[in-house]
Amino acid sequence: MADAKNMKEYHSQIQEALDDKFLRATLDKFAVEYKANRTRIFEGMDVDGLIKQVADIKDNAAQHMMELFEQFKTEAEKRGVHVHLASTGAEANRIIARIAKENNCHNIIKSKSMTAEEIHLNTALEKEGCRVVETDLGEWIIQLRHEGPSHMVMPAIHLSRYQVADLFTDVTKVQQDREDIQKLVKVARKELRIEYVKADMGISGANFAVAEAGLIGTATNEGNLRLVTTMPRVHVVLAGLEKLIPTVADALKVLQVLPRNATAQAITSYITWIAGANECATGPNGRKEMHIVFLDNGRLKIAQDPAFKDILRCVRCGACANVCPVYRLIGGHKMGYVYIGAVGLALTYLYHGADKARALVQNCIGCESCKNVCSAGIDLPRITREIRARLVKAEGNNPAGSVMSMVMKDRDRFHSLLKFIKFSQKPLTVKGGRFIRHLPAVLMGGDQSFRQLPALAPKSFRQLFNGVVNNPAQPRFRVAIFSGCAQDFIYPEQLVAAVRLLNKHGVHVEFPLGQTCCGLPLDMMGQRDTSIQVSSQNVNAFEAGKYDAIITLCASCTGHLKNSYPELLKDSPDQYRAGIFVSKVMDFTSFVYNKLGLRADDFVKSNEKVTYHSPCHMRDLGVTEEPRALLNMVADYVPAAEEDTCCGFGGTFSVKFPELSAEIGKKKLKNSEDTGASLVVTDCPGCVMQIRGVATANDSQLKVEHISELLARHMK
Amino acid sequence: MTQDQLVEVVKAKAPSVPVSLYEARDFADAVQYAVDVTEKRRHCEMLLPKEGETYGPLSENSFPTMLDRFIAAPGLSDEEFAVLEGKTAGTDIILLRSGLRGHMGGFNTSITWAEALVADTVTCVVNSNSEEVRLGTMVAEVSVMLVRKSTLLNKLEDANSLMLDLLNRGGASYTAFITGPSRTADIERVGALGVHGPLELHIVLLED
Ligand code: SF4
Ligand code: SF4
Repeated sequence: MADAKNMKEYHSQIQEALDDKFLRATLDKFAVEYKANRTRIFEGMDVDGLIKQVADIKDNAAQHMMELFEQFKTEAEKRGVHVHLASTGAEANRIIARIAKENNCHNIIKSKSMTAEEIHLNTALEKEGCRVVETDLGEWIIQLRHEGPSHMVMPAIHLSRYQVADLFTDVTKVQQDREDIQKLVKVARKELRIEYVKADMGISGANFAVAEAGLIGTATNEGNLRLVTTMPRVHVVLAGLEKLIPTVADALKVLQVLPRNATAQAITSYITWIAGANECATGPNGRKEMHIVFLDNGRLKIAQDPAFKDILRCVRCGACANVCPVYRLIGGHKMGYVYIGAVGLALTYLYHGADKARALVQNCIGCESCKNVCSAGIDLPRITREIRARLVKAEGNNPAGSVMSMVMKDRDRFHSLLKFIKFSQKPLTVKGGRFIRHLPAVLMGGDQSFRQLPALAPKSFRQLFNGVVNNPAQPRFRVAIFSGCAQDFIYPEQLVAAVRLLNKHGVHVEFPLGQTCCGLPLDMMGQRDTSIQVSSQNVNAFEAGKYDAIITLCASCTGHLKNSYPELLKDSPDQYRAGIFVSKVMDFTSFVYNKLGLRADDFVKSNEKVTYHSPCHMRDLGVTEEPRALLNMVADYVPAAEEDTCCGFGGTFSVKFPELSAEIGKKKLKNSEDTGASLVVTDCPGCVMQIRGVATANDSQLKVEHISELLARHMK
Repeated sequence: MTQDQLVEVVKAKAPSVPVSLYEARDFADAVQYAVDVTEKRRHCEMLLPKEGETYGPLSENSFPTMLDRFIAAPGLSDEEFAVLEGKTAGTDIILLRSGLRGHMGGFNTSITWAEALVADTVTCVVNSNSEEVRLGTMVAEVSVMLVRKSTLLNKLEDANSLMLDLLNRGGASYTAFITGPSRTADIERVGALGVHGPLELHIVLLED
């Protein structure tokens, strides 16, 4: 569990994970296989529609949490169950320990429960002198190793068969087969059987607490839960309040998504539904002594917080870790405290406090993969940014954040600073002035040697624009360009290429000078107030009504303008303007392909082999076909492996976590090179910076271009 | 979908679950199938061996095996149980009907009824209010589920009214959706069957 108090400690924990070869290989393989399996299992289903339904069901439940609790309690009590409500983890632990004591229970067996992990239940019960044995195989393994789970669904995914075999040899005092996983599993089958027989109390979690029937629903593959809830005379269920759900039909709906998203199974081997104190030969009067402990631990408050309430939709499928490029590199122990992966960042802050979360919540690239895979459509990166903003608010600014805010608040100051940097960087550039070897540490921090960073362009796009633009007399469309910082000041040639192409095809192009940084880097740094200020500047810089479209060539800017502006400027005087502005924003390839309708006849096709990198924020916006269709018109397009995986840039992320950014970048480079293409094309200057920087630092021959440059070169 | 179509769906999907499927002519044939399955397999592993007891040869997992074969058949009616007794007469199979807590070391086979079968996922809906049924379907190495074709459902959502019905039959209720054997992928994500419960699941389809 990552519990680093500061970034220095956290970096050293991260390095440990990066050095773990087995972990790296396992998670690489898992990342690739998971995506393929998930696609297969959802084939032919309306996934987005289902996810929306899950979100609605869970939202509705969260808004009626206490009513559902009361209904559940009434129904469960009718069936002979004792229902408790604990406001904190400590209180839940006390209640369960008391139940154990009152019923004279010493041997306790458990099936998997993340909620129990959340409140460190085992430790609490052991302190009371109880013996607690986990029965889920993965949980049992990590319990024997005194570790926490490294994945919410597969808690021991970080371990090899050899580590498990050695552990089992130790435990059984018999040499176990070190290769044969089937046999290792049977060791657990045999060793745990006696525990079911001996146990006085069984503790389980719940996937659902169905209010209409006082019913607990659980999904497992091993079936251990059925024995845990059958053999001992006492059964205690621990469930977070967010597990409450109105009806059985709701639960069945969620079950259409949960196992598919978790493990790419249509359904788990066992779904167990328990309502009431069932038959139990060893229980009082032949019935089970049954208790259900609901845990608040902040959930009621979260339900009322508009920025955080969506997190209560989480059904703990674990998918947000499975697709996360950071998780893939460092695993759950370093990307979470108890809860791990994308949702772990948020839940650590919400359930375990700012201290445990401060360093952790920085560790998100903002690639949006988790949001797009989530069973319940939770916008996790937005929540992570919100937490950063709250930390800054509560704890005051960090030096980097203050400087950034101070500079960015005022466009003129920002632009003069850039001018200053341009002049002062001369001696630092190498390779024909296009790369800065190392930017001064004050600006970038961390070791950036994994990639060569670009110098600022001699002339910015705003300086070049008037000399380049050649607007048609009778335009088909009128557009304005939103450039973002990277293309304005570092890669103006990408925009110049775009202007040439647009002009040539009858598009009138303008470039409003009042625009500035989109504000995403600020938001990533928790600088919420400044981020709102620059959003407002941008919205006011454009007479949006004049244009058919506001064209962007930076995927990250596009994503931020479209996804975050409405939220950031909500309830501000710019709300209305923002609405019009956002509705006009369109990425370059969508405009060229869908609006202008350019086709193969408009280009000269070469047989140059090119591959593609799909920027995260393009995928997030659903723009995946357009760029590829255009590529096919101008060159010999060869898809790369994991073309849809993040390049590791993430702006400020790559500065905070250069060691992670480097690894992700290298993988991207390798996959691109393996296609045999001489050029990789993408549609975001950030990705260009990352991939080109990594390629140059590694002396690769691979060239990197923005798609606008490739298209402009092949214009008829 | 018609009943025949649903049966086809089950047939197509069963192997990948994995589930072994058998269409029985009648109840006696269904029971005969379970007996045959039991006789074909090695003797059951003894997971709770006692000092000083004699056991059979070691299994492939190097666990002791039992000297006798056992079939547990909780939840069968007296008449049904009598048919089973007839089929096992003269074999070395010992029948268990209750008291399964005393057999936690393992038994070969269990025979239980499912209330319904969801074709789309090959999921048995098992009324498990009886503790014996729960233990039977978990502790047996091979679980044989008897299903009447008339109870076939199309999709998981269609189990809603049956669920509500089971919930309203009495005070407490325990219902299991069972899809294939007990499984895990907790070690290196490699699939393994029989981690706590059955190593195999067989479904026997019966006409009404
Ligand atoms: S946005 Fe990307 S990097 Fe951040 S948590 Fe989600 S998947 Fe991981
Ligand atoms: S946040 Fe979404 S993807 Fe992550 S575990 Fe929860 S439901 Fe699954």
